[in-house]
Amino acid sequence: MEFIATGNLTAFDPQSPGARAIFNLWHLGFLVFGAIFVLVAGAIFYALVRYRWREGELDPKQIAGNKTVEIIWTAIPFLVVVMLFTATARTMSLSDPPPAPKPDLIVVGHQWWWEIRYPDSGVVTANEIHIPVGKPFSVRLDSVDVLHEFWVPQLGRKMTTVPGHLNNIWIEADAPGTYLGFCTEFCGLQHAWMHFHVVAEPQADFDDWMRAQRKPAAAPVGEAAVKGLAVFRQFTCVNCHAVNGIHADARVAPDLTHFGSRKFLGAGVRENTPENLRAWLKDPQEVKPGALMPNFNLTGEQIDQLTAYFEEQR
Amino acid sequence: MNEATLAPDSLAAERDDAFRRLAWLSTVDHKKIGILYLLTALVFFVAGGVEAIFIRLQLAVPNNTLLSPETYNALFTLHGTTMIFLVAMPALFGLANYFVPLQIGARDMAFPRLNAFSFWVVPMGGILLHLSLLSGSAPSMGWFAYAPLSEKAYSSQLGVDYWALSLFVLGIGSVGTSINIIATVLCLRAPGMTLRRVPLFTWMNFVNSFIVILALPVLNAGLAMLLIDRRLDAHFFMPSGGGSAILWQHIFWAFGHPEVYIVAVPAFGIISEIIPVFSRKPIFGYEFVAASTVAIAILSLGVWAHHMFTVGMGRTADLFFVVSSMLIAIPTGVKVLNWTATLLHGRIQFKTPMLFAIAALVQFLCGGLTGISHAMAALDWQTKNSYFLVAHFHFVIVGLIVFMIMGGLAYWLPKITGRMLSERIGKWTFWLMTIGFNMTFIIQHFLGFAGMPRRVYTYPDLPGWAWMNMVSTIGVFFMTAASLLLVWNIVASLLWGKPAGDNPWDAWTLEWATTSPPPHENFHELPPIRGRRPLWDYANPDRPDPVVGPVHAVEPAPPDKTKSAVLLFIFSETGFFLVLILAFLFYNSTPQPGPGPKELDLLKTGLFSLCLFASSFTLWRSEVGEHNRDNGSMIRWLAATLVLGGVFIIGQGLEYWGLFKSGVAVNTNLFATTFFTLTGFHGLHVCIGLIALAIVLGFAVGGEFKHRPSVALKAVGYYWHFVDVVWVLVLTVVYILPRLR
Repeated sequence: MEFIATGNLTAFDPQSPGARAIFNLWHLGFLVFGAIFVLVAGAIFYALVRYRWREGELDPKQIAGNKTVEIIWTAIPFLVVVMLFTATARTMSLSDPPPAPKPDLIVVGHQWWWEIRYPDSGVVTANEIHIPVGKPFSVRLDSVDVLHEFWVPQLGRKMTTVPGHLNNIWIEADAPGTYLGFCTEFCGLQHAWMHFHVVAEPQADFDDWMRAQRKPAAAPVGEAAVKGLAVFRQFTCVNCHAVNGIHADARVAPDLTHFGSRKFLGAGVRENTPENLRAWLKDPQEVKPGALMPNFNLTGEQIDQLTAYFEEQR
Repeated sequence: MNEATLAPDSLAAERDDAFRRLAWLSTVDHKKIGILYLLTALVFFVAGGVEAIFIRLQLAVPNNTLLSPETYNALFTLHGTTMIFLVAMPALFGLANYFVPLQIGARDMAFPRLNAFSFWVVPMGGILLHLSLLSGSAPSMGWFAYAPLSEKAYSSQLGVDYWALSLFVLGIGSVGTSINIIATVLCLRAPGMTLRRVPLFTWMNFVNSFIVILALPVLNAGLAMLLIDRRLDAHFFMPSGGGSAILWQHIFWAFGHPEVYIVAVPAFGIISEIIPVFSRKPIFGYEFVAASTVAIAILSLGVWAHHMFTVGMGRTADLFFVVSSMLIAIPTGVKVLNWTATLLHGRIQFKTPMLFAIAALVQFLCGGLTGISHAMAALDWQTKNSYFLVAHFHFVIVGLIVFMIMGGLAYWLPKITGRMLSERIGKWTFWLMTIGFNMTFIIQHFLGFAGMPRRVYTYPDLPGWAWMNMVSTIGVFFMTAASLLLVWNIVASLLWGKPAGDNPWDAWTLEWATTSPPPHENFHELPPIRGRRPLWDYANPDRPDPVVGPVHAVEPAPPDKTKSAVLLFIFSETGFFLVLILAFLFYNSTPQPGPGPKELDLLKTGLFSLCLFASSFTLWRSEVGEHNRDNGSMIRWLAATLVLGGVFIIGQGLEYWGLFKSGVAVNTNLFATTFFTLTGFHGLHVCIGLIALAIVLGFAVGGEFKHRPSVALKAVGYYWHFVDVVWVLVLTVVYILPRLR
């Protein structure tokens, strides 16, 4: 997974203007909170050392309070709050501008994967978002079942996907790379494996990718792949999965057109290698317990054929 | 129990062994009930703790398969629910039960039998929650039960239903306890113990009880709606049926955020007792600590949606809740600074209770500051639902609250048992707990910054995640060891502990003015109360505290406790009905497809509504009759009230019947759902009122009130008038307003 552009503390490695605005607010926050912590904890520590009770000592002077001090330490926090509020309001506008009238990208949460739609080109994919570097994308968030939440730590704010209530955010990346995203709202059994990747690439590469995605699925070439397509039709795969160009257009499960080009399967549970795809087809419940795809009890031969077919679908 | 210290006559019956064992089941003594609360909390603490251990074991290494996702999700749901409702609340209620009456020099709580009822509800609620395990389906939707995941379509098994019923029952118990605490503080203070002189632990429990009676009914209204969705196929929170998933969040957090203060404020109370005693100084700025509690209580009701900065409420709403949530930092900061100032110039004694208080102070400082970062919505957009949030709230809930429960036990158990705990074991407990706690939770802030979402049963081997999780898991074993030592310390002190004497810490509040354990009737005599530290004045006649208020305060007579309790109960019901009324308005702001308010027959309803309103008049006549000692008139008017109330209920029944016949049922559409829910719960209240009236009537006919004035009629009367007032609102909102459009 070395290609994932992630340091240890991804939220502190902002790669977009929005994420950077939030990160700058963190700087202010750390400064203010750090100062308060040092002052107060310092006073506590000083008291513990300086005013330690020793055997036989009498009770100290009984001080019951001081109004001036109280007013001062009510007023100062009030000013701090006003300052933090101003900075917060500013950062909120910077990191979360109003949406574009028409979204560039529609992300739909499903139990437990992400449907990705490019409304302009009609491309539909799953769990892997491609964007051109440096170009802000207005993203509309939706859900077909329960609440999910869309978060790419390096690219900015998170936002819940609420059925019946569309939300909008912007995503943008300054530098090429693959950014890991998560579902952060608990959404049931496989909430843990509802990752996605944002692939930011130079405009030309993005255009290439988009051109490839727009094509319908290629006709299978190899002998095994031809049989694989037959297996795909024969089992009830098409009841849930869409593959553009073979009259499979169900939208219940991830669109599998160009599946071979994706880096992960099962919303991040495994890297997309032939070996892992075989394991998935052998028993999805073994790889991702509770995933809505049942075990079809395919034979080893059928698994190889399906794998061959999808390996070709790049 | 040290029998020698108990009054002989009150013990006569208890000497019988069998009776004494049963006495723990039938007791209405606030001290025994306090102990029962604490024991119950301990039992569930073991359950919640074991759940936590398994959660951390599963997360110790990446891609772990120790637990299945079902099991893991059930464990964190149960862990959250158990620790909040079955550990923190009972433990704090237990301490309040034991020490609030003692601190104000009272004999018992205001309503001992209500007290027993409120307690027994807790184990019952706990059993109800765990019955779900026997049905083969533990709740696994999270303690916040976000819709629509908590709806039948996505959680079809019975776990959620058991969970909701359990919380419903526990909520009723909590409201009962809180009414009791308020009534106790209002009505049973010893002579001289004015409200300005009560110890801060008592004051904070008093203020806190108002938060409970306002917040818990809001949850109960939400739970009722969720159960109606799940069991009667309605769609309050199901977007596919027109409902709103976000409304559940509003209702849940309108309860849920006050709930944080419900467990934090009593912990503030404990810290406010311990720090002065072991600094050998009075609390710095008593008035400011007390007033800031009121400010927190009021603000706590208006900050809930800071839990919802990512659901898309819009910028204006977000900013409102940023402001309100940040404001709450000010009174909280005032508290922290006053505790710190109490330490300065003191003579600090590092006894176990004080160690816990100091650690809690520093940890709460940290948890409070990260709390402000969550109030700053832009930061929350990054860190919400990550391990940073998990770290933040555990710093408050464990770092402050659990530490102060442990500190409170170290401080007060000698009073409860009459025996000292071992300081040596106490210090071991403290250090293990502090090291373990900080090891587990400091690192989780960084896990959050590394992007780890919460509530995941496993995670990939991303850079840094594995070792941070491992550190976090190792910390749990230190906390486990600390918990075991705490229990061992208690057992050992019961067996071999040194006698505590009346006042082992040289403390100054009234609970230390009696024997340890206190006698059945609490006090043989009370010292004079002229200020906030009666025992300081007693021990230091040469330099007593300044008198607070007039020396011989001529206090107004305390309010009648029964009337106060009914008024408080009504106050709590207001929250419940408010949610149902707002839900009706929300869902009917645009006409629903299908039946609507126009189907209702305003004329017929108006007629039987008149009966209900008339019943308020007849009840008032009955009260006048009682006042004039005219038993006959009282009985006649009371009977008339019953008849009128009965007519109303029959009228409502006929209306329901008509609707059912025309095919309108609770699940028909959201109009029908909100209509039946609102009017149904009102009808239920009318029925309860009728039963209460019938009982009072029975007593009246039996001649019970002939010779002495009856407070029962007045109390039931308040309730009945309240039910009528609610109906005025319901009639307006449901029948009249829609016609004006």
